[in-house]
Amino acid sequence: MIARAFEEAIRAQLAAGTSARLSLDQLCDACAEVASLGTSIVLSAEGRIQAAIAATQSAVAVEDLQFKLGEGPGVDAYFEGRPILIGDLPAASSRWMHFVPGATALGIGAVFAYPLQLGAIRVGVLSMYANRLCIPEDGQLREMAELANLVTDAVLAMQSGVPTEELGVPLAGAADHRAVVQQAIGAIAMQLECSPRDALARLRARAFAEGVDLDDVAYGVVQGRTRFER
Amino acid sequence: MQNREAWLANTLVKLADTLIDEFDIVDFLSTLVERIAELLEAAEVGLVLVDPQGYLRVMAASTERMHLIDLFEIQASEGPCLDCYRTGEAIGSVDLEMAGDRWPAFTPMARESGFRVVHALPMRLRDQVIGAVNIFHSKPTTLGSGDLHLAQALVDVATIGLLHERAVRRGEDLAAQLQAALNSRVVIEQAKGAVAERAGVDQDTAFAWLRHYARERNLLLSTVARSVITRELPVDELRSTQVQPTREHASERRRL
Repeated sequence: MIARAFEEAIRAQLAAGTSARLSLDQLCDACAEVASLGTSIVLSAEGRIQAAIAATQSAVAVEDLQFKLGEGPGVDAYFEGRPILIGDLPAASSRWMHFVPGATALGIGAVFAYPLQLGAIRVGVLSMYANRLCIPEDGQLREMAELANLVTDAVLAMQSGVPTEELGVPLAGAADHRAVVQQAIGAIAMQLECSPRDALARLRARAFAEGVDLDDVAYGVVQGRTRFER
Repeated sequence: MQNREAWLANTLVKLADTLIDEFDIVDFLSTLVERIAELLEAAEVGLVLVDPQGYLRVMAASTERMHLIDLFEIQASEGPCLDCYRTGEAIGSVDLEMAGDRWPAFTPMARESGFRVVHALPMRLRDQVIGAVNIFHSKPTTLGSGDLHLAQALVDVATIGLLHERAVRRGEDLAAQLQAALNSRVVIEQAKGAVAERAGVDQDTAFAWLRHYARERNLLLSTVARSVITRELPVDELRSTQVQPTREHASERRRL
C-alpha cells in the first residue's frame, strides 16, 4: 500500500539526514520513490516551487514557466481544487495556448497535477511529469491521488510544529477527514480569527500538548467544552 | 405517497435542471438524498463515496446532526454501506434487531438513534462501484420492489450527476471528479463549524444557512462555504439573509 511505502520512504529520508525535522526536499524525494509513474515531482505553493525532484531539469523549468505565464495544469489544479490529469499534453494546446508549446518544447509529454488541499486549506500542488504520452490505469490514478493526500497531511503536520516522529503511523490518518475535525477547524478559525490552516495547527498542537487524540479535542471544541484564545 | 407520478416528474425535472449549468455537487447530492427520503418515507438517508485510499466518506445526509454523521462515518469500517460497496449489490430491508452479529459496532449505534430497518443501494458506474446510499426507517418496513427500483434509479441519477459537471466535458475522468467532490464536502464541514460557532446554531441550521445564501445569490454552495471559512463572508451577513432555516423534507421525521 502506498501509505506504508511513503511512510517508510520518509523514515529513510530522516534517517539519512541530519535533522529530526523533515524538509520539503526530503518530502519530495520520498514522493519520487513511491510514485508509480512520472519522471519528476514538484511541490509548489504561492506561485513558487517549494521543492522539486526531477530526472531532468525540464520539469522544474516547466513548473517555472507555468507560474510566469500564470497558466497551466498546476495553476488550474490549485485554483479549481481538482486534479488536472493530462495524459497527452500536445492534445491540450487549446486549453493552455502558451503553456503547452513551451512545455512540449521542454520535452514534457504528460502532466498530472494534484491540488494539495484539505477543504479550504490550500497547501500547494503536487505535479508529476512524464516525457511521453501516458494514460494511467485506475490503480495508478488512485495511488497518485492517495499520494497527494499523504503529502498534504505531511506538509500540514510539518508546519504544525509537532515533531515528525510524533506524528504517528501513518502520517496521513482518516481521522483528519472526519466531520468533527473539520468542524473544529472552522470553529477555531472563528475563535482565533485566523486562517483555517493556522486553526488546524493550533488544534494539532493542543492535542499533542495534552497527549490526546485529535478527535477528542475536536469533539470538545464542537461541543463547546474547549475553547481557543488568542 | 399520493400522486407519485407527479412527484417523480417534478423530482426528475429539478435534478435534470441542475445538470445543465455549473452546479454544486454537495448541494445536488443533498437534494437527492432528501428526495429519496421523501420517496421511501424514510427516517434518514445518507450517501457515501469512496476516496482514493478506499475509505467511504460521507457526501450528503438528510440531516447534518453529528450523531448521524458519525453513524455514516463508522461505515468506513463496518456496516451496510461497506458491504454494499464491496459487493456492488443492494442490501435490502435488514432488521436491526437481528443484525448485532452482522455489524457489531454499527448496529447498536443505529438502534440508539432510533432506527429499526436499514437498506443500502450501490452507486455503480458500469463495472465500478463508487459509493453507496444508506436508508433508515424507524419502524419495521419492507420496501417493495417498485420503491427500490425507483430509489435505485434516483441513485443512478446521482452517479451520472457526478460525471456531468462541466469539467468532464473537457475529458477529465471520474477520479478527478471524485477528488474534487470529496474536497468540496470538507470545505462545507469547515464552514458548518464556523457558522455554528459564530452564530451559536446547530449543524443542521448552519448547513441550511449556507445553502440558502448560495441559492439566493446564485452561487455554488462550496464557494459560499469557502468564503465563510476564510472570513471573506461574515457569518452575520449569512444570518441576515435567512428567512427561516429549512431542509427540504418533512419535519416530522426529524424528531428522532
